[in-house]
Amino acid sequence: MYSIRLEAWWAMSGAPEADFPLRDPRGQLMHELRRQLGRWEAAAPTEEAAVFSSGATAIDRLLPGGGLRYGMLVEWLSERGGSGAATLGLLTAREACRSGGTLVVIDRAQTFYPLAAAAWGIDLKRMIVVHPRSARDELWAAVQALCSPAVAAMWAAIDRLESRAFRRLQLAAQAGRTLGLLLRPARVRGQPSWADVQLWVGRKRGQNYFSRLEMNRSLFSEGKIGLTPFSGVQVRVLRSRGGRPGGAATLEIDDAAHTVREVISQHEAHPLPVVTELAAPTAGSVSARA
Amino acid sequence: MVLVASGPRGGQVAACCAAAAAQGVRPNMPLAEAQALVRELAIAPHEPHANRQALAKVAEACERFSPCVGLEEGDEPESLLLDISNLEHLWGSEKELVGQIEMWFTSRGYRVRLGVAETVGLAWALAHFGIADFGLRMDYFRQSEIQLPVASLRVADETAALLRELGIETVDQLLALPRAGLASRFGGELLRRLDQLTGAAREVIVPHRSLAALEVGCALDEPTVDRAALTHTLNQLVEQLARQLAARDQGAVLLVCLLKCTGGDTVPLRIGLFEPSANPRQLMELVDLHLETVTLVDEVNRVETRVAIVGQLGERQGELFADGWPSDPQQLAVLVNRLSSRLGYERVMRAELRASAVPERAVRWVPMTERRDKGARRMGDKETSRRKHSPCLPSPRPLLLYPQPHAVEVVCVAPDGPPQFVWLEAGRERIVHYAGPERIETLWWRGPSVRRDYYRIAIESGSHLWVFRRLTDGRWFLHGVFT
Repeated sequence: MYSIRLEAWWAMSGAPEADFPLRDPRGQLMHELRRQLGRWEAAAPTEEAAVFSSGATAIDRLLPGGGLRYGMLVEWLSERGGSGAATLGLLTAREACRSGGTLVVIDRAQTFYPLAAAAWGIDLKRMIVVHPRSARDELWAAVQALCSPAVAAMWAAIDRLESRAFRRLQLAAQAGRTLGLLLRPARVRGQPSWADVQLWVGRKRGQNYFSRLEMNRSLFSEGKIGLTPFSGVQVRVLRSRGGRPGGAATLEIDDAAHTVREVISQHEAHPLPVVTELAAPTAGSVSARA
Repeated sequence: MVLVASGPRGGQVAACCAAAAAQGVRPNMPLAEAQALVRELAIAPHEPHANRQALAKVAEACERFSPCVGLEEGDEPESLLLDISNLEHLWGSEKELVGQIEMWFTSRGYRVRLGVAETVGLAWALAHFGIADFGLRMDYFRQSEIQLPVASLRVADETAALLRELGIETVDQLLALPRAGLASRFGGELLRRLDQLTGAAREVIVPHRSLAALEVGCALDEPTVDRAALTHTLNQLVEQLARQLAARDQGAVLLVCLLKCTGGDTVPLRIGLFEPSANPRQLMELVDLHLETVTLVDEVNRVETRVAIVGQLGERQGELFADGWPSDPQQLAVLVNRLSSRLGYERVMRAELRASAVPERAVRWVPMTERRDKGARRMGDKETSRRKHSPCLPSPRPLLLYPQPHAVEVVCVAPDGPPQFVWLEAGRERIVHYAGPERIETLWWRGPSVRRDYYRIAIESGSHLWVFRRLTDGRWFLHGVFT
């Protein structure tokens, strides 16, 4: 019983099944069904579209095909402001606009600050910012921007999005071959989504990820209060059309140097292989999850 | 007879008649010296404004010869520029046309010098340096023996004097020199004038009087608020305007539709375009989008439509967007026009950075449909931004900046020290990390004073915020979030 429960958990968390022998016929059936579903869900026309980076190689590894394609809709979920989701979304937009094309920012709250965007490498001459008055105008503007062939990426923070409107955005992104980036609140987790990829972003509390750059800077606080380490940001794949959810990566966003780095600490190593080895020592060596 | 311009020590001679010149009077000579040379000198004040008006009147009269007549650029224009391309057939030949122009002036008592060439620069040079040779093309000019002095390039006197000192007397000698050397020694102005003379740089004659405004109107048989009827009427008017625009090879940049109501009010619809367009379908689509946002209270009995600003078709404001991306650049204009019409042109913008350390003033929002005025420059206020510890490092700015900073309660270790706790919506948060302070101060004579110490803080829940202490009263504000 214990081993079956373990396998089911392992399968659901998205571990590469090839590394882990499935002895349960039900588990095998589930695996086969999941693979077929993944094939059907993958949008066929985008197969020939070029793949580009999401802005962070750690996130690229979690995505099907190793990156994103034009025509996709990506949702970034975060609990509250200050989690780093908007910055990561903007970096993705920057990558999408690298080969030309315009970035359209839909900013109903009128809080988007272009100076920070320029510091992160966004070309302000190729950026249009729209300040719609109402939610209805916001949705209309988003659809127009996604449909337009001249737009490479559309970035918007939308709180409420009903299913029909969401579907319109997805179809518009496909039709216009535009990358849609939606910043959403964490409470929509679990609700139906038409996004091709749904990522959850959260700051890690109390984790010890030192920012060496911050520590070395002389201007860094008189130091007495909180010479505390800079906390990392965790990105988790909640949904992935044609791919496998559950992957996670920890990143460090350096707002001063405008870089994003992957952080790997000892806590990331998965303890499960050790336990399975103990449970079934005759199964042979099990490769640890990378 | 001399015309005297006011200046130090009694004035200077601005212009003199031939008799005075024969006696030694020259322009820019002090008046006292001129009076010493000529005993009975008639003096009249030099009035540049009146001169300009008189020249403008002559320009209007010259419209019989060409639809495009302009004054030469400068504060005190002395020449008229006429565009006579493709007009020879009306007069028989180019020589006949030029002869008629000369006769018109001489019959009214003017002495005139004419120059005809392919470019404005060359025509000006020929007219001013007295070479009576009509119909001169650039390639003939190069082969001919005509030597134009460097002063014919319309450059500053100092530049011409310097060139003469260096032994460069004619334009041919200048053209033989390498361009890079000229640019480094004399700046871009000399090269620009050379290019305008040879035709490498385009110079446009700005018409003195713009063409008649395009305006059409229509009175409705019955006053109505029915949108379908209004749309149909507007459609017809816009089609008429589009035909007139296309005939002139121009496009509308700002279209104004006025719906005049029975009560006397007028509802305006202002449609600004990203690039000039004479396409009636596109214009009508934008008018439709704009009409949807308007509420009609009173019945409309008259509809008028006019093109307030025109532009040449083929002009592109957004050339910077046009390269690289594999799509028709026209599509961007279509998107901008649609968004601007439905949402309002002041809500579809691009951002321009200004030289200001105050965060909320560091960005200028410009509507996408606003035409870039090449001559205008905005002076940003130049305040100081000093970091207490390391001024050479760029300071990070948050991606989310509140238009108005929010007042927050903060507890500090020391009265002027760094923050320790902050009260937000969720309650009290302990600050686990801070960086700063970064002091931002404005120069007091530049306007309302801003004196702030900014801190970038990380709170226990994980968010990174940008707060500042206002130095005038010590109050704390939350200005942005590193999101």
